[in-house]
Amino acid sequence: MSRRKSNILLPFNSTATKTVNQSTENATLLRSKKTPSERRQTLAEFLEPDLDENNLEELDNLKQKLWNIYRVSDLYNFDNTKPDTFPRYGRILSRYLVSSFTQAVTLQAKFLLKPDIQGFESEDPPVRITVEDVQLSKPSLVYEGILFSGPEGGGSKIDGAVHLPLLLARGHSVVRDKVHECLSAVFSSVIHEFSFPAEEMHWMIAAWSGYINESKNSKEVGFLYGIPSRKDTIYCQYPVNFIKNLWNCIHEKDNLNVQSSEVKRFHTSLVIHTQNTLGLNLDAVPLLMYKTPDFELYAEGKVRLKTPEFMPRILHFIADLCENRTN
Amino acid sequence: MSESEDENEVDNETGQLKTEEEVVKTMLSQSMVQLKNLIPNSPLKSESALKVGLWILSSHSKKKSSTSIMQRIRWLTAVVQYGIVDSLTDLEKLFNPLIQLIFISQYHASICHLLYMIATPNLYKFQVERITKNANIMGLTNPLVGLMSRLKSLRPDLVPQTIPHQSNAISFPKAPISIRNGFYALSERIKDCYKLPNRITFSIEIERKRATKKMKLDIIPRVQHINLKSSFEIDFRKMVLLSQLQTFDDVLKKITTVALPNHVGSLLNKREYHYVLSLNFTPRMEALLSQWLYLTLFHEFMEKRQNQGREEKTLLLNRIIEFQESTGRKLMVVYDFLAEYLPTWDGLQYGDQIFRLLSGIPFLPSSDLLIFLRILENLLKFSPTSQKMKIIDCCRKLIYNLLLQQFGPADQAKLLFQSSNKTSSLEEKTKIVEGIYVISEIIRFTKRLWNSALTSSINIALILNSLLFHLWLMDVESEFDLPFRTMCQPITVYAALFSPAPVAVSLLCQLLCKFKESGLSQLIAKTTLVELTDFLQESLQDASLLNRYVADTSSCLIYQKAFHGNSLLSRLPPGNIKKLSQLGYLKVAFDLKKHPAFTGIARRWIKSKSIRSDDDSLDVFQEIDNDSDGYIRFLFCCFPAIRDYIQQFHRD
Repeated sequence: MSRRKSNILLPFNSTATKTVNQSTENATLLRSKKTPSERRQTLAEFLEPDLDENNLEELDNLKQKLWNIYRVSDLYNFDNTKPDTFPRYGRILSRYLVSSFTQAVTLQAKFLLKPDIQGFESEDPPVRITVEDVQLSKPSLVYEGILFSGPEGGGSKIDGAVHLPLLLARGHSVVRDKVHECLSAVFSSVIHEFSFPAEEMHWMIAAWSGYINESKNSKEVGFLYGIPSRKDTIYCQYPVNFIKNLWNCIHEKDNLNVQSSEVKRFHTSLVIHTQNTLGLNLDAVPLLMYKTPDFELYAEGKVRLKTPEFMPRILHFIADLCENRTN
Repeated sequence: MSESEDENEVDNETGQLKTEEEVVKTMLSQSMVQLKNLIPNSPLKSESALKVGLWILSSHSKKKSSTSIMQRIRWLTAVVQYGIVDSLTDLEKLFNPLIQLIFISQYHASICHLLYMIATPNLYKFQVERITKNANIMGLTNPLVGLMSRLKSLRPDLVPQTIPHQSNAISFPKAPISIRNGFYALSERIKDCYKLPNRITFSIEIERKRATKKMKLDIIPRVQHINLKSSFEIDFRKMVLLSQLQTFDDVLKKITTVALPNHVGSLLNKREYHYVLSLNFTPRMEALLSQWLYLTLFHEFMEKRQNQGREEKTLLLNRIIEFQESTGRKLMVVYDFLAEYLPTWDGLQYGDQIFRLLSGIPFLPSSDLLIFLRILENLLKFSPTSQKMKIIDCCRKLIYNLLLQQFGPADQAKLLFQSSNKTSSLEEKTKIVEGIYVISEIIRFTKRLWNSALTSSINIALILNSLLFHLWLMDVESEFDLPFRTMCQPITVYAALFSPAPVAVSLLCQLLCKFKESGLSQLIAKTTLVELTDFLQESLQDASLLNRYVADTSSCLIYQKAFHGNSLLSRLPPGNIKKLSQLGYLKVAFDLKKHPAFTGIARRWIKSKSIRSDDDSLDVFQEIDNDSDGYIRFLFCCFPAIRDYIQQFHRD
């Protein structure tokens, strides 16, 4: 899948940056070519990811959990080539957490290399971080996070740094914040919550409509809309087959290239249909959540993965989104 | 000492505080003491705390009164609890011998609290086993639960058993009430003293102040040194940590050897560290800093709500500005961010910081600079006068900064232009021509802004600032010996000429004189690079405007021929001219003696004459006609620039 969104090219993107060393004493300027911000993607290629059977166990670990999505900048001094350094990182994180909390807590952190499940074949494989409370006789997991790699060639990483732009994390928000604070402090990085722009939600919903399947328990897809300045929400359900058929009417089934005009037409049709049948103009309210038998997407930056088939596809797409901003 | 005894002592709490030496002496020499008298006036040294600790241990072995020992234990615990002691390093050595005291029920709770506070991860198994043994004998008391929790969090491998969660308030007794308030006040005082800058040597400023409760302080990371290598690979004795350096002098001495913190962004935290960052500004460091800075700025300003975390955002922008200004390095990534942020900017939020950043834009091709400047131009159209002036002032500073960046200080630039005719290499010539082109474009753009501002508003402040800008510009162009001079536009000249403010007319006269002295005469005598002759020629052509301005100014102020046939003013629509002519006295209305701007001066002149009679009417003009020479002399005294103008252009 190659899906590049134009952005202003940054100095740390060596592929696009021209360095100009000014002759004046201290001025080292990194010149970058400006790209008009109004330019938008018009075409994206959604490849069908290969599902490696060896990774089914890894995929199962991701299943049915509500993950918070974070964008991570390059991790400096993070040596993932020597897994024997991981116990040290674990100790550092454990001590950092213990000293961060005013209450006496007993937390044990672990770092573990994981196989690539996204199909990027990146030189930086995913890393799983867990934090367990070992105070009680049976340790309980208080934090789980997986750092995923970005698309190959998506951007150049900083020399000596590890490029894992996507972090899926879950656990108590206080612990989550502390873990991320520690990772940022130790590896000179920055970890921010990532939320889906409305435009990206539309892309994902439309482009994956052709692949969703009914399950035993669920035969509908649901759209949850928020009402501005009120706590009320509107939840609209449609049969899976209705959505699939609608998409198939707009987009050629075997064509992997999805055009923005198709995405727009899909959503407009859905909105018009709802307006005609229910009298609701869904175009005027923000989409908060999209739920299918295969996955759930939350605009605030959360995802729940239900079937292994969709996991590489979704992770690939989200990593690409995070990648766009970090490069 | 029981709580009831403590209560009785509360009333006697106020008294003169003793010095550290006196307190320790009392502690060590007397048997029974009154805790309320043992509040030191300053922080305790670690050695003093150690002395008291040793006294406790030795007195116990000598079987002294348990009450007196208990007093010292509670006092020492409170000293550690309130942070009165400067370091715990000495007390930590007593961890092992103090363990034996937890077996004595009277001391049990306080000693557990003391051990809780001085425990470090350097624990031994036998120490933990001894404490566990105590739990087996006395049962798992609340203080033991607190202590064991701490030990488990420090060394989970040594405490395998389950310890229930419990707050400190439940685990440990409070400090004696007689000293609680005194210690609290002292600890607050210590914190305040710590914040005061050292007056002898330039002290490193406190990182940040929390202005509001909600203000997050982590927008710029703290300076932290977290060792990622094995401790065998590092010689900690030789390592100088940045956080250990207390003064700027210390930083300067160790600036080449100091160990950098883990997070590159933390070096933006304090102004003193900016120099350390600048010295270590390798491409890798720059890339790391750029990535962190861009993502942080993008997240804070574009992803988060606009009104969220205002103080922290301002702090970040201020630190960036300080770094750029103090080290002279430009962080291009900040301008990449601004290019994205400014189209959504309202022109008000973080206005001071953004204008400062924009006035310090690095030297870029004019097309890139115009990306930012066009945003300012759009903002100018809908801004009030004060904002308009801020925007144009930003451009003024930008012109000066670009001149400095490209050509260096004025003396250096002058030499560069003088020698450029003879010996310049192609590279140098290109640099000069590129620099002159970009700067002339920015000047032209700023003129356009003035034109736009003066067209949309007749505010006198705008007219005065426009005149001052052109005076400043003429000085700078002359100082840097640039191959062009910028004439101001008609709107400024005529707005000033017919302004009701006398200063405006005076400044106009000054400006016209300066055009002639520093502008025209220098340009005529100037030789420059062949590539720059176009700039010179264009300026000389523009200089013809000067004659028009002078002719119109003189016609109005001196010759009583305003709006005559050759005047630029005659290009007003004929209908308007006809209407104005019907007023009759139009031609003489802007004479020095009749100009509305000088009415106030004329009244002052009449007052100063002090020849007042009953028929001293309000007819100012009649008074002026009676003694026009006297009035003109008075006017020239008030506004010498007008006299200079007349001397310059009307010597006859």
